[in-house]
Amino acid sequence: MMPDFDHAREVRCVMEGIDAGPFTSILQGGFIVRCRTGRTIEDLLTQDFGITGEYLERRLSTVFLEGQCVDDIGAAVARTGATLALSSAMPGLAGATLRRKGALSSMRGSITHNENSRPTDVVADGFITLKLFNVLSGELGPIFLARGIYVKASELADLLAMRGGAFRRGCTRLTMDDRPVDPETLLNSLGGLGSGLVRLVGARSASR
Amino acid sequence: MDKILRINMGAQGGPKLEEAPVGEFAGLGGRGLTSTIVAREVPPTCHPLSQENKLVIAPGLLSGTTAAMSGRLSIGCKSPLTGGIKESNSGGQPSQVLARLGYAAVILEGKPEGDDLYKIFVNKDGVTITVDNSLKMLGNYATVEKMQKEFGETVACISIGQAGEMKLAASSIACTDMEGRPARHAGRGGVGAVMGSKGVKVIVLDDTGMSVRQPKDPDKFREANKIFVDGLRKHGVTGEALPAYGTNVLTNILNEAGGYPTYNFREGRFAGASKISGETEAALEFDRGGVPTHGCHRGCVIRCSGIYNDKDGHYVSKQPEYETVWAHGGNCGIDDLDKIAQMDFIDDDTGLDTIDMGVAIGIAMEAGVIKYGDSDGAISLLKEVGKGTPMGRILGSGAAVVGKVFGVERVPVVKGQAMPAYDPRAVKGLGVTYATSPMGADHTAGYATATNILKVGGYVDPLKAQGQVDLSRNLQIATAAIDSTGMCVFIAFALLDLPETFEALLDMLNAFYGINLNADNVADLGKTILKLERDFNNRAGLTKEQDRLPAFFKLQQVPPHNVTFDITDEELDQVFNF
Ligand code: SF4
Repeated sequence: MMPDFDHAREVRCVMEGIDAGPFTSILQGGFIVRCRTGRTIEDLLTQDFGITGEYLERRLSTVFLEGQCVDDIGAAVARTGATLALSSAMPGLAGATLRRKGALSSMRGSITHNENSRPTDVVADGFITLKLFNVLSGELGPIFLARGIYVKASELADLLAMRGGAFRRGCTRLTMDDRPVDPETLLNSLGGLGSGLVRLVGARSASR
Repeated sequence: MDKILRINMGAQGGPKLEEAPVGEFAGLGGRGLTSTIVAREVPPTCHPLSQENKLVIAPGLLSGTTAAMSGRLSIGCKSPLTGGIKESNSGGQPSQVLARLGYAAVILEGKPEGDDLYKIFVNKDGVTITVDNSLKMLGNYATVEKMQKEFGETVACISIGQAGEMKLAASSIACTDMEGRPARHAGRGGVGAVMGSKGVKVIVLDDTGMSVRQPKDPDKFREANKIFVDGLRKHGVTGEALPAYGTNVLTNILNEAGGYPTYNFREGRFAGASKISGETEAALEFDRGGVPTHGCHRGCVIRCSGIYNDKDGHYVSKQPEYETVWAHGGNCGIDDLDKIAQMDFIDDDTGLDTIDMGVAIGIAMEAGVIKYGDSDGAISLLKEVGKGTPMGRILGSGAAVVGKVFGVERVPVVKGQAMPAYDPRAVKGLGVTYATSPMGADHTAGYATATNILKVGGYVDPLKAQGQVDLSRNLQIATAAIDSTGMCVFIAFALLDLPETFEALLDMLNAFYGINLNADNVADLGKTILKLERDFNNRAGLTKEQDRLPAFFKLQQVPPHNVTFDITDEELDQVFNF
């Protein structure tokens, strides 16, 4: 079912340059983005989000769709409501095993994603839950923050409570539904929204 | 590194030293040397805490040189935890210092009568052994502090905490890091108990006046080291992910894969994973003035470690590693990094293997001793070990014993050793290695990734089912070989992706020793080491029937993928058919 995007409150965080650092916990824990779904991960990432194919080849080493390891991002289809997690190359034997097209991929055969397109797949407006891990959080996070991501109000409140200092250092101006707000007031307001959706936007300050 | 120091702790009239040239053991280092000596000199059926067992401490082949990443120390013996041969290795300074002092190995033999506790001091002038009962039942931190007061701030120490003194089967041996903290451990297999049984509390090493070991061909060596370091720096794993986030960067991806053992291996995903991930840990360390990028010994260019401070900026522990965060965290339903760091410190101070202790506490939670998620309860339980209470002694004896004492079925151990942080039902190939490794459930087959380059066992088709068995065999061969160099496990990725980095490693060995090692020789060395380890285990009574995972992995599905471990016993028996 489509989440209630229309009634989501909007929190806008103005930054000198969009820095994903303060938002790490949300980016790794999962956030919702609206996009055209029913097509391959590669098409989704390059066409909807403007990430280059060269970047995907070079940096995107570990991919999970619905918790299963994806070897071929040009074949695996992201359907609406799916969870997609993106990571760079990871250490250790486990890291090598989970890696895309890795030499050790048979060692995780039972959790490998091997379902590609279905005749019923159509490209349409939809949404996915995206998780950005490790270095990809810093590199791709700003792209998603700039276009706006949807998170539960309680998750944003947790972030403010845990990393308030970093948040304050990162944001030069904070608004909620276009009205200026300080972090403490925002924290209180979010508390009242529970698990309701908030659209979080990382905006670049006008001076830049 | 041309001599071997033997100390007979049980000699008439007190400990007796004997120094001999390296002789027949020349060309061996690290695991290659410890396993060769143990297999040759220790009766396989002896009691691990008896006078017949030996504790062999060996730097790697390139330790003490200017080679980057060369400071891993191997410690071998018959394991009180598994009953088989053990090589447990550690970072920290001692490997470099011991190598510069000229020792290829220090071997503790025999067993003293009485209960005196000894300290051993080694410097350029020789070795002194003295009774120091003031060290009795001190933690590693207090022990090292005393040694630094007595012998100077710059010494490196190899020590045991209370757990080793009590000869508990999950006890570790601590090695000091660059700041002189006993925060690096040869954790696995109860090696601390063997050191305790020899009556040795601490070995203090001082390399003042000694110089860096010199290669036979300095120019070639320097050039190879440069290529090696360049490879590590430019690779995504060794140049970025590990320095930025440490090994705990694995939490998110294992959790996403549904292979993150949670609530004592009941589930494959932990709801609190993002609160304890490497990304969160690094951000927290940064906010608190800690250090998210830090090396465990001089010469490390990856620097996967860090310093974990509390919210007031005071040192709590070194940055807990992935295995530790998992064992004390997700496995026990705990999502509080501050509490996990406290447990890491208690483990280090008491001298305990963090994996076995986290799994032991998870089993105690399953038995209802405390509730899942009860971090304060877990800390109290850990403190019991250092106090030597009956409960503490049970926990310190490791996960397998705790499972028996509390009547728990789900006990994730192989050959008595607790399983690390990867569920073998989700990542079955790891299960093959857990089941068949001569060391018991072990995750350090990280050199695995070098198998393609080493071409051990020929080409493996990764898409065939047999691939998992073949790959596991090759991984274990490659791991055994490269474990002998003293190189840190994390160089593996650069070796995999950048062939020139692997060549550079061979070139360093060749330039240093004036030899002509090639990839085939390295693979042969790995096979030889594994064979003699397997042979020791066979003679100790550990046969293929012990090369199995606990039955619950076959019977109980793990969510979210609801998979079981379905590799047959016959397939497992194929791993060692070379
Ligand atoms: S990479 Fe990590 S474990 Fe390896 S030597 Fe460096 S700090 Fe130690």
